[in-house]
Amino acid sequence: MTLLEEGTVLQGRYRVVRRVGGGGMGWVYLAHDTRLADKPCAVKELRQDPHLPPAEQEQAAAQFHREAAMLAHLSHANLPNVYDYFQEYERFYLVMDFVEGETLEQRLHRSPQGLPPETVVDWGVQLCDVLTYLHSQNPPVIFRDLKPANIMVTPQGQLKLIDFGVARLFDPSKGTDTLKMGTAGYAPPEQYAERHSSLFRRRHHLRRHQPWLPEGLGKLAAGRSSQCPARTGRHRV
Amino acid sequence: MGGWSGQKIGGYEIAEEIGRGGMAVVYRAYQRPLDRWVVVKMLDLIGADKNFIMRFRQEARAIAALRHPNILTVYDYGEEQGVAYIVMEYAPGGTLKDKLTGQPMDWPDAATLVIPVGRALAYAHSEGIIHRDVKPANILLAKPDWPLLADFGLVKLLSGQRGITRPGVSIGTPAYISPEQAVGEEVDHRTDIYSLAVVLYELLTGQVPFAGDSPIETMLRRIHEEPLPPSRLNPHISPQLERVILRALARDRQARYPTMEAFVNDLARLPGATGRAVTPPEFTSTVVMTRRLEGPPAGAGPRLVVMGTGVTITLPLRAEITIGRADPQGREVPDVDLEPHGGRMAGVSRRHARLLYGPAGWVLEDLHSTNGTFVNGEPVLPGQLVALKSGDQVRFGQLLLSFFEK
Repeated sequence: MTLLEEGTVLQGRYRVVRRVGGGGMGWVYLAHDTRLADKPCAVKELRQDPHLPPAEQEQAAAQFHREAAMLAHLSHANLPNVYDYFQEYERFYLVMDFVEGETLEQRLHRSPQGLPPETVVDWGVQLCDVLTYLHSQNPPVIFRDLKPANIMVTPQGQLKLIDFGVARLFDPSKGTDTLKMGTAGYAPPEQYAERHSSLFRRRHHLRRHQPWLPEGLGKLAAGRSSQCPARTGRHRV
Repeated sequence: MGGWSGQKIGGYEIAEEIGRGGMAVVYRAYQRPLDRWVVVKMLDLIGADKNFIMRFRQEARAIAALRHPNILTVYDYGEEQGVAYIVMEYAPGGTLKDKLTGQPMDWPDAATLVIPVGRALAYAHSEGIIHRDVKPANILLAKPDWPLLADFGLVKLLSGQRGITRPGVSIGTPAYISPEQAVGEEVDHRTDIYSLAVVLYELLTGQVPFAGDSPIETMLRRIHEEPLPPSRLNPHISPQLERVILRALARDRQARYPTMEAFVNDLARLPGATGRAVTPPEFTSTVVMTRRLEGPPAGAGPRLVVMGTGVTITLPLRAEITIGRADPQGREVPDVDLEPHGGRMAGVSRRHARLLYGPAGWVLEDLHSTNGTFVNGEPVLPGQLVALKSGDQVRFGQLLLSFFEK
């Protein structure tokens, strides 16, 4: 699919600066919001494959809209704010905070010897905080694809979860995930097995499966967060 | 400029008016593409004072540039149909002013509100922005322990830009403004330190340090008098806490903390400043899990319409919705708060009833309310789940509403 050119203005409002990422589902652009003093924002585009049957295209659009609406109802320091959602030239767009920094994957790549334990513990606390927030929504939100490439770290050391493309609302009545999603190496075994991918996955992620988090992080994190609940984390429906 | 209810501006569907201040009117509005509530603040461009329009535009730009978990997010700004409008996030918990009871609050509770606001202000100062109107009415509550600083209507950019206040016109709120702001001197970031200290004083003692019979008297008193030590009004205030407050309340700004950060750091170091533990979510029992059913389909929001006023209460999209009245401290806020609809007079209990969404649609359950729950005149008995369909009359105590599923 063709890339939007630099200078393209969407909705008479968002001026595209450059492509900053994206993958199978579509591009992500850095744009300036001309209505808000050129504030930087991330514009995520849904890539539609015209060769797919209309029903599948519709399904992809519906999934993209679900992601937008789900994020729009969440508000937490470790999640991007959502500003806008629209369709233009038969493409769909979601406008979010532009998160400066790099992904944890990139960060790890720069430090092949590993990172200081204090930094890692602080990240662990932030992750536990935001995942607790997601899981305490009603119904709970399951991120489903937690991995370093989906976590940004800002220059101030704040983590932001990005890409809610495969997240979904937890439905206990469903036996199995209909699609196998997630990333090999980070997804827990049950995501590939028969059982429904459940909240227990998160524990698995944090305790056993992520080589970049120390053993016993959950405990450490729990101790830390109960000592400092006045952290300015956003807990809200 | 009333009468925007039911109309659209910039694609936002305007619902009811929720406040007004100065020349601006504030509405709750619906952003359909994202299926969420937002706040739209509007200013009539035709009748408004030029200075006011400038301040309004400046507010939009100033807060749009700020990104902090404790600062209200601005989503959009536009001008059309003769009005300028700012679209902001909707904080369902109301303002801190609404929660003030006149009763002293414990330090740990006050700390959970004041410290995050102080950090938000320290961040704004680092971005070159002074708020100049810090007061409880400008602190919104996303949740009882999560404040959001709002209303940068009087913000001033630090970068040498001349203030847009006309000489002799002092803007701000008499009970909270600093002495230097009261006499119309050039202000700096330390005016916010003073105002935040007034808010803290009020939370801890139940009253502001300087109150007079008139705005002028209120302002004069702060210029000429020392505040009453807060421990005289609340004996639980520790000497260390009192020292911090009185330093931030110094009449001479040179005697105050040099920065907001220094003030907040001193507060955060006091015992009890970490506040109350956040209640962990309930994920221990399978009973809880099965209760959390998939919510109703998005966009097909159920609603209640208050009989008599015709006000529509859009119900949140979730599988369990509690209905009741928020307590004055905002410790327990039901999903649907009937207090603004005359709930207290009508005998609505704090936790009155709840709506549950299941495979059969919506059902209503009474939560042992004092004055009972009724569907089409029939009482809902304890433990009974009554299925609701569109058009049903639901009564909580004496408050009558119509239920609509879509």
